[in-house]
Amino acid sequence: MFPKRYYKLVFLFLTPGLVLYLIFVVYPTINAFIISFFNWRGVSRQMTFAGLGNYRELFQDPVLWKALEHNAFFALVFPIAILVPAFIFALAFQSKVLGANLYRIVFLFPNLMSVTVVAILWSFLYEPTMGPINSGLRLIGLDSLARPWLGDPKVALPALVMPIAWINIGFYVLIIHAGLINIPQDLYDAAAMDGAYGWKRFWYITIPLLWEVITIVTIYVVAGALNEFSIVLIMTNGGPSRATELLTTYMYKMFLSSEYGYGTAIGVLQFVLCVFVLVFARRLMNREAIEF
Amino acid sequence: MLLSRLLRGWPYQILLLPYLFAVVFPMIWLGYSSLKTNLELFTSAWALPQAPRWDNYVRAWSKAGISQYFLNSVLVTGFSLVFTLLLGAMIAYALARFSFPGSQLLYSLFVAGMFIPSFIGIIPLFFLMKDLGLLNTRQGLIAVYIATNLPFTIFVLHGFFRTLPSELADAAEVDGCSPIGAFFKVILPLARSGLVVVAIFDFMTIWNEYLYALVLISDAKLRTLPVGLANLYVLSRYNADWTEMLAGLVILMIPTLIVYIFFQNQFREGVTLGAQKG
Repeated sequence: MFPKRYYKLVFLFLTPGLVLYLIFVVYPTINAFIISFFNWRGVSRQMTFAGLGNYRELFQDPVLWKALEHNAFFALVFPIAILVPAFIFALAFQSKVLGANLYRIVFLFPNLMSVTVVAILWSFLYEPTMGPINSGLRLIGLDSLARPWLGDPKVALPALVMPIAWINIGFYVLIIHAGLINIPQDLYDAAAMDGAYGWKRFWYITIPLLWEVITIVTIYVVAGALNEFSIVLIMTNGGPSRATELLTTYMYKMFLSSEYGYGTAIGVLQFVLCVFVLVFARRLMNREAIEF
Repeated sequence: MLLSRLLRGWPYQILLLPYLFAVVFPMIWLGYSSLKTNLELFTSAWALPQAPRWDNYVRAWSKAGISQYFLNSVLVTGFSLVFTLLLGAMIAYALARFSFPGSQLLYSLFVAGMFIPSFIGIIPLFFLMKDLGLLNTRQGLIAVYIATNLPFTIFVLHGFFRTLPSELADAAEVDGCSPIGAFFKVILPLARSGLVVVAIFDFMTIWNEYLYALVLISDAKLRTLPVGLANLYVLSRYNADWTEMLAGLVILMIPTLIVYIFFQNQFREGVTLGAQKG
């Protein structure tokens, strides 16, 4: 299926993109692994081999552990904050609730805005003195609830979940909804004939048939928790006093202070964690695929 | 009859309506707040402006240099988009239509790129760009955007091209077209709907991209919109011209909003396409 006359096309078509990809994506990724084994700081290109030195230092670094804690917090909270509402809304759309089309359209929009816009906008919303959230709380007499959302170490990290959920809910609603409408109506009808309604039908039909989709979106959301960067960097820069530091922001700070070997090691660690989570989550959520 | 249709699933509205408010209110607030004076903004967060201060936009556009950031974003996004689509389509077609030793491997190599977080290679990439003399250049950023958006583009277009029968290109070649010509004259026009969907997603990704734009460009004159604005935000914490900042946000948001309104259907199609494939 590959006659000679197509050689030119294939070669010409593949080369430019492949070259760009190899140079700007593949090479840096591989290089990162290598650099993480070296001591490299400062502008000079002098690297001394350090073996696992960077990694050893990393595991004794209290800031790293804090960052990991924060990423873990996100990994646990994001699925709840994003997927539970998304699921409920998807179910609502499936039952053709009034205004479903409008809701769908509006809910998706935050996903398409630049993270910069979302980050700055929400920073304004959270502003302690002149932001609408605190002003609103004061207006309805709930003064005690008003606080410096991004300035209080105890509240900052949870506060960051809101804008992130805001961005993602609309997107995941669409995906889950697409999965829901793929379930043939006949199955529901047959179940209804056997007397299964409401909760039973949800548990025994909807969930199992949607399991593949549920697995995938959960993995995506958890991976997102590990890779989160821009929102946090712009809104709190890892502060106050490292209360919102993440793996990614920490790595970025290493880059800024020219700690290249150490910084890359963080990147590698993050990558390994990502892979681990992927494999683990896949394993955990594996069920027999139901063909229909 | 109509009433029962309207009331379908009404308990859901208890959750849907508040969330609708949560989505819409920040944007409305942004809209009218960007037209206030700084004093009005400080005095009351919720109040409407007394008179719309369009000069906030003028200041954001000219004094804050947002027009420059806008121009940079347009250039970078434009060129990146065109070449990503072109090279992506070419690769997707070559891999979809012909199977030769290594074609499956190449495809996997590209698709794997979708799952590698862009983070890990950022430091080596920085130094690579430096060595290539591409640091702090728009061309460099464009090259990186093309490379990083190829995986997704190829993934989608590959699936698309596989559904097109090869007889079409064969027929064109029988008529004397070269295989390459057949691609450009026959196949590509047919791929229009797939290209539009991918183009929209690539546009969104590139226009809103922050990390690479932040690390690879430090010259203020060359910054793209997301980075420029974030930078302004940090600075404006010190000079407190908030309304100018808000106007800048609206300026950043408008192209996305316009594209979204016009290409509504394609967006939803694209997301559900991804859902089915994923």
